[in-house]
Amino acid sequence: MTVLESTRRQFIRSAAMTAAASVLQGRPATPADPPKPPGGLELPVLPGVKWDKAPCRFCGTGCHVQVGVKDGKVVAVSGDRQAEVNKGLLCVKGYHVGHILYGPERLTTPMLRKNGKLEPITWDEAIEVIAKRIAVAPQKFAFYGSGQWTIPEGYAANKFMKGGLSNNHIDPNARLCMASAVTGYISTYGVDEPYNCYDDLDQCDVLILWGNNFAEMHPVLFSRFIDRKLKGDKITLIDLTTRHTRTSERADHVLVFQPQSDLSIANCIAQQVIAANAVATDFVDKHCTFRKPWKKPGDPQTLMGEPCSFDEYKQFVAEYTPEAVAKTSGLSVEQLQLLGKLFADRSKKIASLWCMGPNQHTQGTAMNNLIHAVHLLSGHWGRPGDGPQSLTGQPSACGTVREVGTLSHALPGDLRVDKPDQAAKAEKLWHLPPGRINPKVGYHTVQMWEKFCTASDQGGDIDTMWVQVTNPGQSLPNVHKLFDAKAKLPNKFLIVSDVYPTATTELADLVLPSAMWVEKNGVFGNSERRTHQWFKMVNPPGEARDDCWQTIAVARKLFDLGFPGMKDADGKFLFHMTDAKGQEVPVWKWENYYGTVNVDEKLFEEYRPFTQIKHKDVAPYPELVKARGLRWPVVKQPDGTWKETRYRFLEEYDPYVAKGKGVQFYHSVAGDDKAFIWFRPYVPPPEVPDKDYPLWLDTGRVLEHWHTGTMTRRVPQLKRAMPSAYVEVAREDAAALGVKTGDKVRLETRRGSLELTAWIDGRGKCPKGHVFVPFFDETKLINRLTLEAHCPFSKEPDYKKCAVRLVKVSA
Amino acid sequence: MHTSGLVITLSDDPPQAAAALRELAASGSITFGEVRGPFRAAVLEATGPKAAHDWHDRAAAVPGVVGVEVVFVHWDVAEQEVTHDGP
Ligand code: SF4
Repeated sequence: MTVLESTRRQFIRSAAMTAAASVLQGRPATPADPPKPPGGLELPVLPGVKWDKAPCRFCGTGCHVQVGVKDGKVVAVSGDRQAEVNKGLLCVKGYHVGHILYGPERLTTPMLRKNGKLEPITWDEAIEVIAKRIAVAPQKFAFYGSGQWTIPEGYAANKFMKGGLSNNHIDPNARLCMASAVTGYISTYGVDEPYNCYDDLDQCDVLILWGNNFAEMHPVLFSRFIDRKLKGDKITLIDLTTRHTRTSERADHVLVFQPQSDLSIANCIAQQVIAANAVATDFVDKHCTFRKPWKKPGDPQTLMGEPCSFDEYKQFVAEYTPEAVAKTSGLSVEQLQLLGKLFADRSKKIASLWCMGPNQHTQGTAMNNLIHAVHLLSGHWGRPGDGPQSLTGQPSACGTVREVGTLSHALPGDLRVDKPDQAAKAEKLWHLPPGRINPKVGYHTVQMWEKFCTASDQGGDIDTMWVQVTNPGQSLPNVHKLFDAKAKLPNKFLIVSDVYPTATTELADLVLPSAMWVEKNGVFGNSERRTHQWFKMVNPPGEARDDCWQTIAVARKLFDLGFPGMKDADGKFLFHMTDAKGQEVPVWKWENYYGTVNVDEKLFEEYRPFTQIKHKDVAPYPELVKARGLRWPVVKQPDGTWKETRYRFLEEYDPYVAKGKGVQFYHSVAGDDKAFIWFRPYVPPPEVPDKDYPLWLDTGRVLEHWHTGTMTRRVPQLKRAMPSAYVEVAREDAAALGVKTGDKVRLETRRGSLELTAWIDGRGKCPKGHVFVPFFDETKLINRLTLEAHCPFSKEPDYKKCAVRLVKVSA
Repeated sequence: MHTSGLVITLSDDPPQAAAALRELAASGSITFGEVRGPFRAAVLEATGPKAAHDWHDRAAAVPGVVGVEVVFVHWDVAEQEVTHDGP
């Protein structure tokens, strides 16, 4: 090693140690030695390396990283110590986030399928192909995006579809993961998204995880809670789960319940709170009303239900006694009483968290309603550390899907296409002629793919589909029916913008190479209402370009072809942008996209007034540039500064609560400033194990891989640590079937079959009668087996339970 | 070379924590820094990401190690280009 090299090594070592030591300062050691202000906020000094901030590309936690760039390449990543979310820590995926840019398989040129083979074409040709297909049949076009779209990307796609094409067939993959949380919030509080934030983890006495493998799915937040235990805080972790996971290993109580019985368990908590005379009448009388899901039992349930009295509600939940629920839920009477007693005791602060478990559920909206209900009823609501909060899996499921409204019924700012006064508001803000927005709700995800994968003469009225930033060929339920069927329909045209080849690009007719993460500007919104911004730091490889540019370029091509919808009320282009001198900048030409205007800033500032309609005011773009994310509503103070809001609806924190109200649900469904406490009954699942298919199949994620593994499987450490999907089998079932770890087995459902390697009591431990398969592996598509049955209100499918049989193939 | 800044969380049982530290130190490529309660700052130098990840796997499994978290990582561009294979 040369002297120069040795000095360089020392530099890097010392930077690494300084970073670790600084993070240490911010961690709680003992109750008597609280965390000091994080030491050394300055960035590691490395020769030639320039640092800039960005949120992690992966999950909805929204950790911040500092990205080190040298000679046009990302060469280092550091947890951002100034970020409140993660205080300098990263999980193993954040640690490798820089590597995702550099897999050798990156898509670098547009490719059109000719005679069955993808062949390179120019961007001009690609844009023209798309525009011409849309121009011929705009209503037969659908756009499928995701919670990984940045806010400007999703906003542009939404405006292009709803404001430009008068077409509402746009939906995101987030329909598959958090749509039930949305309908749950709206039908409880009248408006979407949590009122609280991650600060609850620092304040709660009890943390209840409802079907949520927190340790593997949101590991940085999990550490934030577990650190408190280590320093000696007397806090309790309750894991309500259908299988033993890494989370269970650290839990004080592991309550393993039978699939679908979570509905009964929640009602059982309510029953016990009432029986113990522990209803928070002071809070409930002032701030809540009761709701039932139908006019009378037996009628179909509705999203907004009917009013009911406390006495009716009490009667409805009366049958859910611990003794009755113990018979069906798999929990003992004592375990159910543990939950009941906790909620009946207001001296303890209880935080509830959930993610896919209650959401990917045929009763997803109901489960969300019930978690809110037990908190509201018992008064465990409104103190820091004492309330329910749903989490998201994708980095901008909240920001881009829920706030920008990229769902088939929605418009930005929580407006709806099918409410004329709301659509008119959007038309005004977009400066469109009145009536431009189509009042008919578009196809949701499952419908959209059904229509695309059905022959045109048999009602399949979607013939062109554009997919950006997601991998439906792997993540849709029942993919045989909802995706693979496209292969036999030659007139259907699939456009896919992505960064790597995927199960979806395999069937694509046109593949567009996209820029990712710090190869472009971006804005994300995380699970706690925090909006964060970053700048482009490196160039994308080859011809790869921003998804947002791709949308704008197609819109412009349609404008040039004379498509009327691409003009606003004054005849100007839908994405008309001007520079500081008022000159139009042709941002649809790639050479201008990162030129004199910041397209992200222009789109974000255009979007911002929408957010003020329902008091979800996002901060101005320049404020986001300065911050590590800000939680909306972000409101200007008399001194000119901007202040974020930790807790909504509470006078102490939320500037939109009227003075003297204390608590005010100012967007309540009934317009009375009150939240709904819902009764939702137990409803059996659509498919249960029987003699032909005797086991439950559950699917989910693992720590090493994010979502469908498109990015994380390109990082060799992560791929090697968890190379392929497997099936977790309970020891008792394995013994009965003569299966050992490493044996090849076949899983069969009524929809398909899949060969996998068995893992007895693997990473997690299934109870007898259950198997678990992770869904990250594109070579082993478990979603060929899952059900497309979905929640009637959120339309979110249930990936968590269907009937399966297991057959041994070979040892 | 692949250099990681880590925070290692050790058990609150002092003999177990001490034994864990000895075992981690014996793995060679680790340098320990500041201590705060159950937390230790550390730097891991490995020949490449694969070796670093192997070390992580082993360290996380050592009795007395509660967790290993990553706060910083630096890698050489050449190494990144040759080691990132496809799926
Ligand atoms: S917890 Fe999520 S956001 Fe944080 S580092 Fe890990 S993957 Fe990234």
